[in-house]
Amino acid sequence: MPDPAQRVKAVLSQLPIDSETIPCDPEKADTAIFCEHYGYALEDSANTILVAAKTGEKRIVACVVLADSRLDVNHVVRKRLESRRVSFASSEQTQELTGMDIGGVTPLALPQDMALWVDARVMTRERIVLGGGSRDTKVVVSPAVFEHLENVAVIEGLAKPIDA
Amino acid sequence: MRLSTLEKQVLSGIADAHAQGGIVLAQMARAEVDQREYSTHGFRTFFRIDAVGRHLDRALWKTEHMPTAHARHPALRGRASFTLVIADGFICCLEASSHRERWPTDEARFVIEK
Repeated sequence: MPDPAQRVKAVLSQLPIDSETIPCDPEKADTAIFCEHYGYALEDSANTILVAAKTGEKRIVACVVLADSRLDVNHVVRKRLESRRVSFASSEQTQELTGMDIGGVTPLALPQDMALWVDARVMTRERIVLGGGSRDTKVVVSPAVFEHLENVAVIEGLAKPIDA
Repeated sequence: MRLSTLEKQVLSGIADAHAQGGIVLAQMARAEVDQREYSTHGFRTFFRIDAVGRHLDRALWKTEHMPTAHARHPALRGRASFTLVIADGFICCLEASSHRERWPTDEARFVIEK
């Protein structure tokens, strides 16, 4: 599996979308700390979270949600995956499946056949901060980037705002 | 309630791009609209369909890979996206979104991208 950060660079170079790759202290790559330290709003930062069906055939989906919201695993994800039980992938599973560490996971360098679900609120932002493929970079880009990726479905209500 | 022209066009576009598209078309022909909800940025249509016909094979139509389509509209800068939700092998819901832009009132001007 090629270096995820290099894959991100390659993907972005082929898209008609402006983006900025910014360096990040790996110790400050986790979203809340990153936003506080580097001065980004949580609602402009998006997390990429892997969820796995625990019943039936093996099904994994990557979900992109704003950092001020919580992925609705037990309702929306479970229902759409048609699985009685779903759970977040562990950090080890995430590493194994994507080659990326938590804090650096990006939707821009996922395995080709992995489905990507994007919460509709993500698409309402002017720009979002995504993982850069490693804990030492982030990517700032328009959410329009998702219109150019494969296997993407934008889903209303995939995540709920945390204070709602 | 019947499916709108846009809904039929989107489902046909999705069907064209998939090996089991014939089943989608057959289901579409039998489907009725159970509920259609509009929001500022799109709509969500729930289908009612008898479950007696052929269902989509989960081995070929994985639930996590929800079929999507895109469309252009003169009033939109970006593309509108459509996602078809399948449940138990039958078309269940079509979600449409223009993301940040107001959903156009004149749906006849949408052009589905091939």
